[in-house]
Amino acid sequence: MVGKRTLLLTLFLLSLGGLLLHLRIHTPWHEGKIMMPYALASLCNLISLLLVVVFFARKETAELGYLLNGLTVILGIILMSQLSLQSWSAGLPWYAALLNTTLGDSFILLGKFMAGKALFELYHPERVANNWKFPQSFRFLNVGWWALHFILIITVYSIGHVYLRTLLVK
Amino acid sequence: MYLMKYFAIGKPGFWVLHIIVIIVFLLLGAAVNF
Repeated sequence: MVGKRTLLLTLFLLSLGGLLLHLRIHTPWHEGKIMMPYALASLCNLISLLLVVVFFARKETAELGYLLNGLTVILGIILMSQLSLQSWSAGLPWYAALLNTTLGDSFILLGKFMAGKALFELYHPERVANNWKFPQSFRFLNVGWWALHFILIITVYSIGHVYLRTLLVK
Repeated sequence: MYLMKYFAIGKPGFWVLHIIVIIVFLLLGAAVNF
């Protein structure tokens, strides 16, 4: 299959680069304690590095790889956006939103998602046309389905952070 | 598409999976703070 190995290598290198970058910027442990959000980031990265590439290697398990790849990308974008929003201070110039936040890292993650999408469509070329048709676009693993789940996961996560946190953390 | 065999709309697995995923993301949202 033309391009399969290159795309697998792209996914592997992006995950490896992300993992090393995470470990360099913030280690999951600090003074003998595990730092939860940072450990979660590295754990997701490790899952992405090991499982996604293995699942994507075969056509039979490619949908699981695509699902896992997409979910880790969504979770990564949510966590990194939260990190930037929580450390945002009023009065920063507009270009600070571009240069001083994790927006760039989110774009790299989106690139990883697109590499997974290209690989999945290489295995299932018959599904490509459905991506841009309504309502087929909203069926499992098509573009509309991803967009919908991106919004829904952000909503559920935000509800948990805003409402459940006050109940659980006193 | 073997995942659709167990988790398609209308199958019990659909609701089980979605309830688990919703609980996981609610708890994640509650737990994570920078």
